[in-house]
Amino acid sequence: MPREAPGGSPRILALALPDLPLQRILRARASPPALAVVHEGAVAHCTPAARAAGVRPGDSLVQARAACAQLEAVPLEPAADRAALRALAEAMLALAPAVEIASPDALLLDASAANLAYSCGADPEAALAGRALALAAALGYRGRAAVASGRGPARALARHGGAPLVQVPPGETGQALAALPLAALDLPAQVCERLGAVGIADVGALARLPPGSLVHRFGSAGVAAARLARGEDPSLLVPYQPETLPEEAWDLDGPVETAEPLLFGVRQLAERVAVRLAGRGLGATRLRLTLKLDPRGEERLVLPLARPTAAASSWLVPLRERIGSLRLGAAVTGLRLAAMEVAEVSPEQLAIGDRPEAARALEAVLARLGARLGGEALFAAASVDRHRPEAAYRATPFRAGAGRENGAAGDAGGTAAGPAEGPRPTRLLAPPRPVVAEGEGGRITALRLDGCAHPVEALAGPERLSGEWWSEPFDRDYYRVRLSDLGDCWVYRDGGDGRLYLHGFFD
Amino acid sequence: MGAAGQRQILEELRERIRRLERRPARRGGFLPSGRGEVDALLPGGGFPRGALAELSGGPASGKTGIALSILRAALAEGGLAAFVDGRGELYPPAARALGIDLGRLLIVRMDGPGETRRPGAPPAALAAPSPAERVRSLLWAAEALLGSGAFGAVAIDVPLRGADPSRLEGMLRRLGAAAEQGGAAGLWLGSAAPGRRLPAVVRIELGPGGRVLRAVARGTADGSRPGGAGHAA
Repeated sequence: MPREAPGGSPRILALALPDLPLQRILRARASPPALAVVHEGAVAHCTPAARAAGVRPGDSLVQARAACAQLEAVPLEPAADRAALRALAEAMLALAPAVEIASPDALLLDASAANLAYSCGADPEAALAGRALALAAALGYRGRAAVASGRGPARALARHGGAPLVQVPPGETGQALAALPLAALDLPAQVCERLGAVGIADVGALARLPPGSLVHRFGSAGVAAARLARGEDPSLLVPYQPETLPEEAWDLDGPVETAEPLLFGVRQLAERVAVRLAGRGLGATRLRLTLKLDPRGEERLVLPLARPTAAASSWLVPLRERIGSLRLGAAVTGLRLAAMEVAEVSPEQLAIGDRPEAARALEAVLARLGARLGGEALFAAASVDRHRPEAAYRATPFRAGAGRENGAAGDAGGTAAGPAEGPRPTRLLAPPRPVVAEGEGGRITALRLDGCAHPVEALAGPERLSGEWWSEPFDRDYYRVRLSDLGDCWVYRDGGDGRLYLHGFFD
Repeated sequence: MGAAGQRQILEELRERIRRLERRPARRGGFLPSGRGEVDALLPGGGFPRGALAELSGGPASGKTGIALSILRAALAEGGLAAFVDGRGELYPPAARALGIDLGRLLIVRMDGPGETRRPGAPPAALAAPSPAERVRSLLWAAEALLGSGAFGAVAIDVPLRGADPSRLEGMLRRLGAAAEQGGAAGLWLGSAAPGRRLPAVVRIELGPGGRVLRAVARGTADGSRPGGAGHAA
């Protein structure tokens, strides 16, 4: 049950999607055929091609088929239509602080803060409505919008207002509603029938009735209807909160064996999934593209992305590459793109000198590399407070310097590479290679590595590194050894087995 | 029309194409390594942007230190740097000690960070790619980074053992073209053993302990022809 707004009716943008079941089916197809959505044996919605052939909503399926032999009949799927509304609501979250799903075919957006978010234009509410209509169009839906005070009035005006955009200033909602039919108010069918029986045909007539007579005849439902007719609806939105990750599908006209039509479909899907993610402030880190094969079977491609992003353009590069390198045994009949893993997209800009081209180039190259080599292969190092040299750093996602804590200036706690530590080699060998010391008179003269003796010129150390007694204890004495034919090496004597190991090069 | 005029027209056309393709602006010039004895041997006093340079030497010849110094110079200008670590040996704490902001240094490793590879630990995944595939992927990554325009300098440490010889020449040639396209300073780290000829405009051979054995520079990608060849022992 919606709550009431403290200061009267809130400003609401309603977005109505006429013939939603039909639009939902057609948006996943490359070209609209003569098609009808059928419910309980009768045509509920039909395409212009079907209308041109003489099919009308309300016709029985037999009548419709008689008028149009090629008619494709698709059953009404209320669950799929609700899912479509949820997807659209998800994308609309990018425009408004709260979005409500008003089944069966509308969304309600909180427009009370439009003047803050769209203050640069002359009319912030119209700007918000324009953005909402454009976003719906990007997702493949044609809509009608209305901005008014109150949930019910805004929805009624969007559904029955007759114009692509109806805008009603505060205080004039009652007049704007007056000409609409009673059905626009979504009243209980029984109330509607009884009002019709006493000659109340439109909303204006209902608004003019004395409140007392309505209480007597229709009870509380009648009073609520009259308030709504006068444009009084202080109820608050019931905000939608998405729970699943976005997934979009695209049916190809017929079996396809070339990359170009696939790429066209993939581009549509990427833009739709990206818009939905962007609405939630999320970016994909892993995508799954499923190709439906003819006559059966499917091919799944999983694409890890280097960084969370909701920019479809960043996804298209690796998607194009993967599709280009595919060797399919059958033609493709449909596509499905899903965001498998997501992460919050940091609002901070990439720290590469505020150059948008460079930021785009970085996104694109990281996406390409991530798709081919895997996300694990790309990283930035961060120092770790560990004495064991091979554990003195860890991999972090490469954020182009967004976080400086792992940089040269930060990391005050990193003792393994801190200023108090000795010099560290530029190359660390994993695993360390055993070496044998040769000497005379207690002095090491050469180190034998892989059967070859390397004369020792100088030796500095030791630097004792030990610890981690609670898990894998280690105890090492490190030396910087200058070998005359190689250069400076990092060698340690293991306290456990007493042997010498080459652990790195000062290359 | 003189050569200078033609060069100017070519530069203008390049800039127009860059704008049409919305690619990042190229920076010209040189990146100094900060090592006086090396920079003094190079025309321009540093390693050229938009070109490939080769640093070759043994495992402890100091080539990685010079490469890291050049990456640091690229980072100091507010850019980004990358290290294609085909051997998996780069030790980031040393890079940090050299003054590199690790958050701006992208490390590319086929096997991932390898943080858990301790003494005695088993080698990386059994289902690893073949050596040829490995070299191909790493060189492809280096080419993509160099040509992206997003990185000021890219160090490439990729052993070519196991590479498909018929495709190697082409892959190496493309590295030079990518560096020119993206405007990055490409730094190829090679071994002491004589190997394949890279399309490098600067070659520096280093001996044990970082001694410069030989330095050669030829015409750079921006058209200037220093033409000098320095030798040091």
